[in-house]
Amino acid sequence: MVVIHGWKSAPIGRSRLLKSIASLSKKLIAETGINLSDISVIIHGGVYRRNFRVEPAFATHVQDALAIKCTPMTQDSQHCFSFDISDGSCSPYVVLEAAKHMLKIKPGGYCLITLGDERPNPQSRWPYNPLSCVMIVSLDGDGPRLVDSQYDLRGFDESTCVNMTYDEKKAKNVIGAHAVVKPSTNTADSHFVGEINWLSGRHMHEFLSQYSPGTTNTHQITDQSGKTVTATWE
Amino acid sequence: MSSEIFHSKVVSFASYIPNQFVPLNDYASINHLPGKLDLHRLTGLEGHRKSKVEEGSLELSVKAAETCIARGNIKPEDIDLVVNCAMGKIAGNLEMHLSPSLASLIARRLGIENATCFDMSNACSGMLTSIMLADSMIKSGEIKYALIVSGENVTSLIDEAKSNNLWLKSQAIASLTVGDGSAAYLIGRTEVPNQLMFSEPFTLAQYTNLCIGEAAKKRAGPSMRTKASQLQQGVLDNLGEFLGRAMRDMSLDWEKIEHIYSHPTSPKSMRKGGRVAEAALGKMKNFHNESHDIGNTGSTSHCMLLEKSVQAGDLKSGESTLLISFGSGLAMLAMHMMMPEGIEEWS
Repeated sequence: MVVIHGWKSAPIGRSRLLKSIASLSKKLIAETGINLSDISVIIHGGVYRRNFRVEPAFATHVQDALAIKCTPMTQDSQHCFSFDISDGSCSPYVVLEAAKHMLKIKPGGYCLITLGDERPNPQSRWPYNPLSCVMIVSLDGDGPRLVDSQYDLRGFDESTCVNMTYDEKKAKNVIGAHAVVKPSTNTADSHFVGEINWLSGRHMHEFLSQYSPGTTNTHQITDQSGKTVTATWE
Repeated sequence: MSSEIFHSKVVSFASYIPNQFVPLNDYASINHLPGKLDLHRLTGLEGHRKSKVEEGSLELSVKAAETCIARGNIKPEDIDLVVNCAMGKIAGNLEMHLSPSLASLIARRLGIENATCFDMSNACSGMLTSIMLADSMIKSGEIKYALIVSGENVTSLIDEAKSNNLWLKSQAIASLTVGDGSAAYLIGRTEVPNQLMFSEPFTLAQYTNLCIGEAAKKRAGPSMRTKASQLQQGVLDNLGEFLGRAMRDMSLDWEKIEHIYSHPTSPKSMRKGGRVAEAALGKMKNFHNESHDIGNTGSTSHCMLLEKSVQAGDLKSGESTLLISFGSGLAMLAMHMMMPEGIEEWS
């Protein structure tokens, strides 16, 4: 189980993803009253980065922008560990599950989770209106508590996979054309179900905005590929 | 109180090393490079392996995974977690897979139906980062078997680098040191403790901008720009302290470790790192520095070297083995494993 101590979100607008995430993270850290040095892990979840960057992990840029434990190593120095995880729009839950384990591997601190996507370049078609969402999570304490997440690949349709492809006319690598599965409408009323064209940050923003404390909340994300994750929160 | 209720081990591993060897002189001879730069003298490299046109990241991954699963002697349906940690996820036609996870496609190709699948991105340290997460999931009892896999189809970086004027873009020169290949590890439960251990992982993000991989400009596929000497210095400046902490974290005696594999940016940089390590901790028994004919294969690099050792008959069941990982970011972590049972029969 992981517990969300605090979260913040905002539209990315015209700013870059890193600027948006770093600004939100600073505000969240100040509001939750923790120190930057209390963050031992940063995990980013998202698919689209500026100019399709793949290396290094986006989370390392966040760590650098926040200047978290960027010091030479000694036998007693404290350092953060940062990396990215993705699975389309289902990314928030693979990130949260990874955070649970990383907080056991690097105990005694908090994990900063950042979710967000940005248009890789102006030449790419961009039908999304993404939000950045940042969360501070730990293994215990007060706040929304993730109890379980279950994945269902039965609806996964390989024809929906999204690739970066080269557009000869534009002389640019762009987001390629892809299909989108038809989402199931057979969903129980008690679930909060995100829309199929939302990206990771928006999914968590919309779910947490309507989260109801003191009761069991369920959250379902269906990726445009047909993959589904259903999470239970208390 | 520890939440660990099980122990984990490396059940098997495998690499697919493409047959086609491309000599360094074919693409980076002294005449190809600015200032009569001698890349062989600078790096110790003799060339790299190149995958076939139809072998993209997905196909390479599946090849390594099939061998790994066969060596592990388990059924695909027993696998609960599939993690892909390839950096570029580049297809044979140079398209790059973005969404959903490539791990989902790899799982489907292998007939793994019910596993959680995701992609890990932590540059060349993605493999050990993924195994570390899988280890924690197994120890907590959440899963029984995890397949961690990567296919690096990255030699298009060489063509991209050479399409530039390397006098003006010297940061592209490090791209000439890469090679193709793939790797897979199968991690599972065991009743025996300490078969698989990790150092505390670190990211020294002050070095984060020294190696950038992203889409190429005005051509299909990826590009990479590296401030190689600064990045190498960042590793060397912190290596002694890191290894000292790693030995302390895992309660290991450095001089008793049978085999040590480090991330091979180049054979010459490995030798430099080896000297720093021995100055800090003492003599190494077997430091494997055999990347001269495969190059830097990113997240698959340790396993490519392990596979060469398997083929050479150098490894025995139960031998103590340390993998030391560095990745752009700058990520640093180490993994200690006991060589899997039956490894003598793999070659």
